[in-house]
Amino acid sequence: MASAERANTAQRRCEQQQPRTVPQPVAVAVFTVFASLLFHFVILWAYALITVGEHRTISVVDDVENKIGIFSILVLAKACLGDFPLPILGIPLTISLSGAWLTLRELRLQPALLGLGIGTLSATFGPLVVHNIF
Amino acid sequence: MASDRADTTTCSVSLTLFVAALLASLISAGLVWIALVLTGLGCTSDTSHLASWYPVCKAYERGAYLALVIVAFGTQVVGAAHALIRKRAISLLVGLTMSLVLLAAHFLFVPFIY
Repeated sequence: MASAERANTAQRRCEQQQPRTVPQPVAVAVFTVFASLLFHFVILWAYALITVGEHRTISVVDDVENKIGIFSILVLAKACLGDFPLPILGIPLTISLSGAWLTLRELRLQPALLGLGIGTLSATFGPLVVHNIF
Repeated sequence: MASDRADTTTCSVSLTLFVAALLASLISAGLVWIALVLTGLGCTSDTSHLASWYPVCKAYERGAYLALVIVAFGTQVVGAAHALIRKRAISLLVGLTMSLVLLAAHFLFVPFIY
């Protein structure tokens, strides 16, 4: 009896809702989707889990060749990330390369993220500087 | 007590609480993102071979900071979801506060664990 009254009270409250409310299932569903998107955003863009597969071709390799030195890897990463829909403030993100064919005067290998380093590297260059810190 | 129970049976949440939950999640994700990007950029710079950066970059490469994303951001998401389900804004504040504490603690202690 008491539970029926409570249900009636709840029903009445639903009918007499003020306009500035959101249905709870909708709110929870929207929040869940929003949080999932944020989670994937953080994972993909902050932790650099993006890898370049063998089927991807680097179309701006000529630009990369002109920018030699310490920023070679970052410039290459930025060029690859240009295909993604959300370039963030032009910040070059470091990615892990599964293979790279470059012709550079100087190549510096930066520490790879998540242990996913360069698997195949065919390059023609002068001095090779490897920051082997691990 | 009875009124609390009745409040939880209503089928809507206030728009303010809903927007606050979204904003809190956005803030938490933004802070985690900034912390990780700064760490990643620091570990790919010329200073990464220095002793001060060594444990941080070592932990970063081993995926230690992936746990940061899951724990810190996940804590805030759970708090916000609890706030939406139970309609208690305090859960939102507790979740966001715990997220910030875990974020700070993670960056302080992880380099010495991994």
